Amino acid sequence: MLLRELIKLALNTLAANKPRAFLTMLGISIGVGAVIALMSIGAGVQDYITQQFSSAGANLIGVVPGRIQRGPGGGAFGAQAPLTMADYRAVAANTPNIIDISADFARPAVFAYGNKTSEVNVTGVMANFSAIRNWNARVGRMIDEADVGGRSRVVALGQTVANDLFEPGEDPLDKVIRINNVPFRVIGVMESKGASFLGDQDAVAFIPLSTAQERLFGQQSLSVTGERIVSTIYLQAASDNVVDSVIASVDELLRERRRIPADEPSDFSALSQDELINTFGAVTGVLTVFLGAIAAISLLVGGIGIMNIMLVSVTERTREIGLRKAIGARSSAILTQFLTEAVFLSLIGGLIGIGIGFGAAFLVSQFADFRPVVQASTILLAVGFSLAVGLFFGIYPARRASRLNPIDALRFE
Amino acid sequence: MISLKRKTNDSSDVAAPRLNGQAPDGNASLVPVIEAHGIAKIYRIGDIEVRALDGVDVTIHRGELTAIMGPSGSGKSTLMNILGCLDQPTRGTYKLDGVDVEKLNDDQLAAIRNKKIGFVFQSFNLLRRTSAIDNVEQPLIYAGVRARERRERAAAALESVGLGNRLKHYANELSGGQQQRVAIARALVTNPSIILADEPTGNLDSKSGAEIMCLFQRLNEETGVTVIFVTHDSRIAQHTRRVIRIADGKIVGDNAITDQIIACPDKALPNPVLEKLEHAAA
Repeated sequence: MLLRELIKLALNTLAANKPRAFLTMLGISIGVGAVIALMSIGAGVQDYITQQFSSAGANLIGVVPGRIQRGPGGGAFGAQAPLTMADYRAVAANTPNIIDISADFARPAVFAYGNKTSEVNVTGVMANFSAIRNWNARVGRMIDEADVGGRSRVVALGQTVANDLFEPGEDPLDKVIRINNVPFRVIGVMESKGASFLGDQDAVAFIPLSTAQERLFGQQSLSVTGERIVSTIYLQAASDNVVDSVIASVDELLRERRRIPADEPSDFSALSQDELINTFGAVTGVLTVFLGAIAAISLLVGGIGIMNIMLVSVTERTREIGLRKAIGARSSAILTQFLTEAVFLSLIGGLIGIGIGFGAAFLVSQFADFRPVVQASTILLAVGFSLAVGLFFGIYPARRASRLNPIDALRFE
Repeated sequence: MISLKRKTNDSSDVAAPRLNGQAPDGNASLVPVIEAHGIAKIYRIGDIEVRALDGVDVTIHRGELTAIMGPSGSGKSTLMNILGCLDQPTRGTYKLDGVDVEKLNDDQLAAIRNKKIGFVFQSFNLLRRTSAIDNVEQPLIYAGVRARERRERAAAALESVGLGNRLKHYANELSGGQQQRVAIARALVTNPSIILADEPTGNLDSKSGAEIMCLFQRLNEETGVTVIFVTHDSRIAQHTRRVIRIADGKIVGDNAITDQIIACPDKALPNPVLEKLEHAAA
């Protein structure tokens, strides 16, 4: 028996009872739609996170004290012997394949202007900060070599701090504000990076590293060995390909300097953007799978709906089955006919579901910061799954139909 | 493929009374289409053994118009199921058109039903919401016939039962008599060796019933197709030429009908049915 005939038969039968076919498909449609929508949203969130990290600068590697656990549930812990300017100089002198290197020193501070105050981290930076972190001043300028060399009391404010201290429309440039009661002249306001899951990225202020270490925090910035402490050392690798080798060489150098035995983990972390992305990506990946699994439950329920309707259909059409057997249909032909019907129900339902999924993803993109990504693999997965649901839940009713005894079936009232 | 022009003869044998089918080549040999010997069907219900059929011998030749008659519970339905290859006997041998049927498996039986048997049921058993021609095509689908040839043969079969102008009508839009004619066309379309008609007029008024009987008589006479009625209605039997009576699972009578009723008002056969069917099958 030709497959084309079976498909025609199945479609005719479904068309003969449109409301029922539609309602049965609806279960599958909603399931497939939910799977596609939720997985697209998950993928969109992941892309969004990747983008957030990528905006930090190309091929950026950060070295911080403490051990950062990779993967979900990670965080920094362990003995936090600080990094120092001596470490910075050693890394700068001994690490091949880097374009640029920088260090910063960040501490919380109180900002005041007139009767307004703001409490955020003040970060002492080197002149190459803008280049290495891909972050420039929107108005005015960023810290430069002269500022660092002269230990100047100048500050570039993040947008949030500027908003906190100044009235709307007031020009912050050349105004003198107080940071921990020390007067600083505002030389610039930074580009806004916006709020994200990482927190408000604009709640920052930049001053020269030398000013921060020597004038603002003084004793606080000295380690037990009398070296100036740094919070983060930034390295920019020469290319994508050498990021891992740069991390390895920094790791080796710092372990040696800090005399860490071979069998103990490092008490500092050198991380690339990729690793940070992977750390968060693993979390969102789990979330995506979780959402997909919840959506898959509705597909399962839709599949049970198909089985239910197919069982009813087999009972209703007992005489038809008997007749078909009498006029020469083999059991396998009956089986295939009913299976084709079930598969078509779920497949058409699945196709409608793709539409629903796209629609839902589009709606979300209208209201959320991120853009849901409908991946081809998601669609293939959803369609494949709905096919499998049709086959799985169709096989039992179809077998029942094919095993009917034609004599009893013909006599069925 | 089985030739439509069945070889029939004019022998006055008791088992196969005078046949009116044409015998163009004058061949006088009787060709048995059904040869059943010692057929028994035994059911067990708990400890009780029920003999629905108990040693039945039936031989039916090509071109015969026969009725198997008996009251309900006589075993006639069981016999019809066995002759129709829907069921297999517990004991005995059954040859249909030369094929030993009792040895076949389910799929082979399905193929035999498809090729050699046309069923006509009391309740028509048409597919609802399906056109007349699609209904008639169904057996050809299972025979693996291509769509184009199916259309032609189904149309010819419907024309031969006088429904050439109702091809696209849905089964549920037709009268009872018309529905039964669609069912007859469906039985004819595969050129079967036998047509098994189970109370074919049971759901019809007397006028439609007479039309259906006329159609069977005409088809039998024109094409020589073997028709076997299974009925409890002696009026149907009167339209045949041979009656096999069955009671309590045994054959109790096998007689030629001497006073056959011709259902057709005009005994002439106006439609060139034969040519149409043959043309379509070619």
